[in-house]
Amino acid sequence: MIFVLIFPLASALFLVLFGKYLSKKFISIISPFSVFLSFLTSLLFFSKASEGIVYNVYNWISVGNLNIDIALKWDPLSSVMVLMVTGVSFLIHVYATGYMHEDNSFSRFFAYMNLFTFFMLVLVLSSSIVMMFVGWEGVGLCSYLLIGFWFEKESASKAGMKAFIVNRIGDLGFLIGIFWILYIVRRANFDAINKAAVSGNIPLAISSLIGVLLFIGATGKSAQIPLYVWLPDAMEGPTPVSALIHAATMVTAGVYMIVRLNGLFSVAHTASTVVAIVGVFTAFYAATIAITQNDIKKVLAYSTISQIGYMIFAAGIGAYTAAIFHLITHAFFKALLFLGAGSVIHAMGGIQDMRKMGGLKKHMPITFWTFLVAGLAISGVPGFAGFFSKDEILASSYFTGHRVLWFIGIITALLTAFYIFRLIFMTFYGKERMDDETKHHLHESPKSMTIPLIILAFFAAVGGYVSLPKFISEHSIWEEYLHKIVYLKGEIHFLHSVEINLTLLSSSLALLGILIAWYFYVKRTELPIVMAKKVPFIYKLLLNKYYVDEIYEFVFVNSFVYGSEGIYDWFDKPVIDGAVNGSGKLANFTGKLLAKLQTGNIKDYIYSILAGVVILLTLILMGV
Amino acid sequence: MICGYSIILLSFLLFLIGIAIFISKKSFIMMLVGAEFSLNAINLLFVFFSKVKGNLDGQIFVIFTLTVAAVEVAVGISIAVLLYKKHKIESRDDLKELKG
Repeated sequence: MIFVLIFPLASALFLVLFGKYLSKKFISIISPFSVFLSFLTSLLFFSKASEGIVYNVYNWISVGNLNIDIALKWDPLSSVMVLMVTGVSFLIHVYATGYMHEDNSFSRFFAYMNLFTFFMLVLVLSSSIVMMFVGWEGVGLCSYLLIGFWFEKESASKAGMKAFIVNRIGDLGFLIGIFWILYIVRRANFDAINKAAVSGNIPLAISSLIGVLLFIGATGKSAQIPLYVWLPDAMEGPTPVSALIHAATMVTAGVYMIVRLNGLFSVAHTASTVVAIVGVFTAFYAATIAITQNDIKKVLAYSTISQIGYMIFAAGIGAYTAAIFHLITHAFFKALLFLGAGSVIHAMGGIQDMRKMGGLKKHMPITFWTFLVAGLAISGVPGFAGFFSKDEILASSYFTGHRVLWFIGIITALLTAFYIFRLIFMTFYGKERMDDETKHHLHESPKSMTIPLIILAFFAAVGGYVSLPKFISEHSIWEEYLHKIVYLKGEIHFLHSVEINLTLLSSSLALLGILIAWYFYVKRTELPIVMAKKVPFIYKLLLNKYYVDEIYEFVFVNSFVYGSEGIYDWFDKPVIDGAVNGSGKLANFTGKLLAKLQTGNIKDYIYSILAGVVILLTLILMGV
Repeated sequence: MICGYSIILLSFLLFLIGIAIFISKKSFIMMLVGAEFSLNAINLLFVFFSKVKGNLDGQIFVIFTLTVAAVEVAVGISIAVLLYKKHKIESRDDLKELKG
């Protein structure tokens, strides 16, 4: 089982050490191949997962009565995650061999990607929360390295730092939560924590507090309000990175963590209510921003934030299997969307502004069709993967009595369909708005890029059929498989007649969204500008992302900068510098005083030695 | 058997003479002679106590002291000779280079 971890790590180390001497061809074979080996290994062990096995590797920390093992947990939840991570990661590695072909730091890129895969696997396979934190920080590090991959660009290295620092704020909450758990439960593995929470060994107020602290960590990693600001900037990284780290795997770590600790969260009602509300508001909020963005990757970034909002929401209302279901389907269609966007950017020679695209459909048919599948999936059009998972979340929220949140969720579904088809229509339909030279260079991407697109499109299309809506089939393979990891098993009663109506409502809203997008961006292309002029205030607010970056800049960064400057003037200079210089001066002064004793006259020394001896002798003789 | 006190007294006197030479003489060579005087006064005491106690500890210690004293004299005299050769200094009062 440990081999799942070893392959990517070995490949990463190998590339770091010898990458300089290897040909690009060789790298583009071994790097994806190592991930593929992990994938095969996890497939091989898949049958054992349903029982839930813990592989002990090493006794890591043993202090007093606190024992933390390095152990791998292989249960339904981690097996599903590992298959998704290794599978999607493999496809994206293959894609990247085509996408990054022109890049000079080819080996560095794949070393980081393999390292990321390793840390992500550590995160999902860990059996204890402390080891999970190791993976958690590891993926954060790789995310930083890969966002700032093109570090010659100032914006890229700044975006990397932003991601790292914002995540650090979240991690502080996460870390405090971990320490608190260790203090109360005295065990680090998830089983013990969940059981302690369910059996009531953790006081309710404290478990709620711990839940909120852990959720702060999740808002950082999974880009939720208020710590989502790093994700749109993270699009400075290469597109395969955005697809792998900032869409499919790392950003869903927060959802995974909440589902892992479902025992704790289902007991702590306050915490899970906070989780649900933050999740659904993030979903809505990010979707409204996505409507106005013109950068193709920024739209997808906000869409990711919005979709993760759905998952967090599902985890908050206790629909854990639905949350993971949406996580997996989202991994497929969002990775596909990003890779498709990457293919478009590749063809456009690096241009990301959708206003300069258009009419790409006939130039790049494979990219278009796969992108369309992903678009249909994310919008929730019946039959595609996103439809099943999103509907399950919405239905669960309706039947658990969260009607207000459900309403926001379903409005978000409409917005989702609208912005994603706005993107598709602006990019692939309409007039060709690029200049002639770019137009001349337009081409379909190489096979190494299109084949992963096709495979992902297949999963984005059919991935949802593992869990059909309740009114079609009471038994869903997905739920029965994953149900074992849920500690407090609360049945959600689905009224079939109502559920059909809900499904009809959400699918018709999705279609309505697509229709509006079509009307605005294909039929009457002048309408969006008219609309923007009619409500300039709202348009500007959305275009500038609610000015949140500016507000954060003003409130946190500036206050920090000016505060630091003030402290520098009023404290550092007089007190710290004073103390440092003062001690120097003191040494100088006493030195000068004592130097007078050193006459250089040997006679004086002899007399002083003698005087010392006499004084000592008298003291001894007097018996002091 | 010579009276124990007289030996101690002799040693004490020798020690004082040594110190007195060390203090009063200005030539480096004579100062070293004074230092040797005091050292050997102490050696005498060691040997005497060794005999009184009936074991060899004191005598072994004397051997060590003699070795160290030989080294010390060698270094001391070479410094004195060099000082005279290079700077024509033979009196300790001429050496005030180290004044702080």
